[in-house]
Amino acid sequence: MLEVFICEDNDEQRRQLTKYISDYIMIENLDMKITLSTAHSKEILDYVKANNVVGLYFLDVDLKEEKNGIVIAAEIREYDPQGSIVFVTTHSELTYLTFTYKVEAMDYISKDQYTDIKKRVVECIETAYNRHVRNSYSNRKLFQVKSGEKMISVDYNDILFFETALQPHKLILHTVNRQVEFYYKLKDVLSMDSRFYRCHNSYVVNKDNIAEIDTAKREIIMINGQKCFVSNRYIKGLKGVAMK
Amino acid sequence: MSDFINISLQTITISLSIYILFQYQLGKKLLFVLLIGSVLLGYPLFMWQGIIGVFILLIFWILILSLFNKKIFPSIVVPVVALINLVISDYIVRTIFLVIRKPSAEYLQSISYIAGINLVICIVTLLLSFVVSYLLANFLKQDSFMRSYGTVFAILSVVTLIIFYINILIGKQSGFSDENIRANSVLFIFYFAILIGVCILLTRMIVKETNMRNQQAQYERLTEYTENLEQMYTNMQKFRHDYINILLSMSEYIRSRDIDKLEQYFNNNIMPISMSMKSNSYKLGSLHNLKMQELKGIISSKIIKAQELKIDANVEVVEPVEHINMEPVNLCRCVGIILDNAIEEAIHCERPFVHVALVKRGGSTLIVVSNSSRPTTPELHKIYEKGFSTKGVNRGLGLNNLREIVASCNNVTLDTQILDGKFTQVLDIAE
Repeated sequence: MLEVFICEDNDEQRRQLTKYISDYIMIENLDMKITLSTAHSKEILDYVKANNVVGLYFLDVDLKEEKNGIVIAAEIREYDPQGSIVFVTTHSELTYLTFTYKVEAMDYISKDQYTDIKKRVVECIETAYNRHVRNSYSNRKLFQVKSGEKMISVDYNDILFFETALQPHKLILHTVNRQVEFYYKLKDVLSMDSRFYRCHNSYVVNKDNIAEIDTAKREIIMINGQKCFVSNRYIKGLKGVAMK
Repeated sequence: MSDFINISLQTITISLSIYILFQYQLGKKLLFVLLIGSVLLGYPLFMWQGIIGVFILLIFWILILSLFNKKIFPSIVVPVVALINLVISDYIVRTIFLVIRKPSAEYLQSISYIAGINLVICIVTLLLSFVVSYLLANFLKQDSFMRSYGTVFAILSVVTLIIFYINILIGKQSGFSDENIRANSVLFIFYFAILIGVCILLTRMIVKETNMRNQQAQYERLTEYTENLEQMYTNMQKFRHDYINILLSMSEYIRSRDIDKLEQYFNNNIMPISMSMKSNSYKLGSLHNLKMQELKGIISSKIIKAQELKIDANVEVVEPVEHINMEPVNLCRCVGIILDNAIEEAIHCERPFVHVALVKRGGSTLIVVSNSSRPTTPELHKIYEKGFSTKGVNRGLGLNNLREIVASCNNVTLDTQILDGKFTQVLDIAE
């Protein structure tokens, strides 16, 4: 069950928003319910603290309270790390990246004349609902590490290899469309999955994503053509994987 | 045998002082190669060529270092400086010894004297290397200096070394008399002091020059930003002037209850104004939350440049950002590279955009740059290759440089992602 929370201090807009959502849930017969629709963020926070929820939150950014929507979202995040947050705002386009990177907001809906609010609400519900269903029913495994304030989560299947950076304990994770640095030990990464193999003093490779191994040049060629080094000492352990 | 020990001692000393002069940043393996290589080569070369053999050894050091290090300039200068250190120490120690002890000629030939003084010379060389390494570190750090004066400095140090050795050879022919040693050492120390003095002066000048150039650039960027603000203010004034009139005409329609005309008027006159409020100049507004002048300068100038190229560019700074824990010059270089790349890529898109955000999250500050990218954008690992560029050869140093700068800071991490036609880079700087 995905629970929906609405926080909007304009009564008219809140009524409208609630109607859009409840109508859509009813028509599509989704496994969702509106738990709270309120003008006061405290009610939502109290509920989230007291219950173990995965929610979809529609938050107004400019509330007539001390805290703005972004601060409230950050507090909600502490108790519901998986929930989907959607901001409803008048000055959307100037804060989109901030929403995403500060509280990992899913989307935003701008309250201006040009936006079809109903359509956007439906889109948000669909995305959140699909995400929720996927997370609860599939056994897709995510590689998740916390480095400082940053949470990195990547599908295990996407990982090509890990490489040590120049700084001690700094690693670079390579996937096909992402390269991300974080603080971790190569040794600890190695023990996280059986697909990982230490192929060099400073590399750990995902064996499933190797295209071929060039024994002469001591290079592993990944499925996207990227190269990773392999040392003599460790090359034996890769027998059985495509050799050239 | 004693020759072998003495020469090995000297070559080991030079290898160690090369290690010291490189700020201990050479790998253990490289140090090992240097030590073994010098000991194995040193003695045969000395037997074969006399002290001139040292030049062959020098070439060996330079080759090994440039092979491992990939940087030509430090690989030449450091061994030469190490050798100069040894020569200087040699003369200082011998002169002091001569002045203090006034030993007999036989004593000067005895093995115990030669071994003893050699040991002292090596220790003094290492001490001198510690001192010089500080000086040299300052030098090697200056990127702009290396580029423009690197060759001059390398030639200068090599010439110094050659002059020293010519002097030694002349001295050897005349049998190393006391006066000769004393005169030489005075000459060498004098020369060395002048050289160091000139170098210090040169670095100071260059540092000053770079600072001035940086400040000039920063000033120009801030001027641009101010002009943008003025433009915004003028627009505001115009609007204030207009909106009284607008309200008056609206009230006229309301009084006559002409709802159709009112609607028409609203759509034709008021909507465009609210659209223009969203126009470019207002997108820089949130930069006032950024309190770091140099960063404000570079971001505003790049965003203005992007807007001139018809790119939808904006900046988000929701909370005040007073301090970022990174050296300002490096920070600005990183942000500059990221923004330049973003603009270059965005230009080619159908709906180009570049969005920048500074976000505080927990103890870190995130600098996020997101830009539209073409579906044909090369794969990520190719972009980071040295020398790669979408614009042909020799232009792709940008992202590679970025990676190098980030690698040199231990509180900064970089996250690069291409997803759904969006290229996003996040620079995470921890406090």
